[in-house]
Amino acid sequence: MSPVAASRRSISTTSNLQQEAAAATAQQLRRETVIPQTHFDFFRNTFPNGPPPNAPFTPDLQALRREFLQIQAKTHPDLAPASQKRQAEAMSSRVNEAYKAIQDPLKRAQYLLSLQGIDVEDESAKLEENELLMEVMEAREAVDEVENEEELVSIREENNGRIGKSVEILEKAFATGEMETAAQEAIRLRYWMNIEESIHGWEKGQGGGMIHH
Amino acid sequence: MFRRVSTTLPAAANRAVQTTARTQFIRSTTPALSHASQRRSYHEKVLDHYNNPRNVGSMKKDSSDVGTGLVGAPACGDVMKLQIKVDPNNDTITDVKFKTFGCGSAIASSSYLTELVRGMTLEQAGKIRNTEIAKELSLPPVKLHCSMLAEDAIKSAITNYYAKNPKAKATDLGGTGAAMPKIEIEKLPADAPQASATA
Repeated sequence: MSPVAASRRSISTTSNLQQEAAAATAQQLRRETVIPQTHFDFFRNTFPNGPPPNAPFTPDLQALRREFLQIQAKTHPDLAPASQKRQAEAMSSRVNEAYKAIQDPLKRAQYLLSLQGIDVEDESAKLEENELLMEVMEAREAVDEVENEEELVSIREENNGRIGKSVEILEKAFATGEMETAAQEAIRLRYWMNIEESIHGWEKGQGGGMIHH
Repeated sequence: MFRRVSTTLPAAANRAVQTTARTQFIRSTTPALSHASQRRSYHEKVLDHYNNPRNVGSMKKDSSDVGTGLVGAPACGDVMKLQIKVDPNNDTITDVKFKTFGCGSAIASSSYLTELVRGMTLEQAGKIRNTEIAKELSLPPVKLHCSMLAEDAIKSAITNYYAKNPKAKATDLGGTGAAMPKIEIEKLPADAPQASATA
């Protein structure tokens, strides 16, 4: 039997799990999370009532990180018996994925929208909202034209202001279930994060950082 | 949800065991890997345009003979500006400038587009399809949207030019009786001295 088939079977059939006393890792996690439906279900201390609107859009990020590390410590593949290693690794990566999607405001917004069936990551979508595009263009040009790191400071502050404002709007929109507003703001936040990335990647004489995707 | 995860993850886990590197393991379970390998496989024509972009810059967007297209791809947060300078006597694009903030394929698509449309009439330029750009640059399917963005940009620039010069569209100047409606445009803007200073 191939290793893939073996690990698949031991995860998906409960009886198999019960037979193997060493199967504690995955089973324990599974019991604790009561079959995760969403990324949020992994972090029950941080989201006792489930995802927004039952929780604020912005969680306690420190508590989230603490909980994430606790789960990762418990499900660490190194602690699992040899027969459960692959399973533990799969679980560990699943928790990782969930944490990544939740800890970042843009990814969290995109994920929450996707749970509602709204896709703001459709690559064929286009935008002709001139005001936004002009602001983005000017900001990106400004980053390119900066000559020293001191000048970057005010640009970064300005952009942090944009990010903060977008997050505020997202908090309100998700709390009240205004998904259209949330979708629009997620797109704006996407642009601000790219500006942030170009500031982060700025190099003297090179201009703004190149964005890879 | 859980069922789906339980059937797809072991395969990823299996790959991870082969590589053993933990970071790679994490990436192998997300779409990031496929994107990462796309990044590495940029075609040399894309790299050429990326490293030596043609016609980067800006023109005065208030000039009546300049059409500006500004488009964005919300999924990636890309933004692309394309400007055309049009000879009103024959509706031909005499100069092109672009500025794109985005991935290599988006930059290459707009750079190549500027070479393509220079010297074309507005009508010809309006007929450019993204597939022409994608073919020239050998863009992979996941990057086709970059060439679409470039197509949108030239269309948007032409539309903008026509909006500024409504008469240009009404009279088909494709070589027939030309030159007549242009007097109108000369007296158009209040900032005329500024515009003519650069022209």
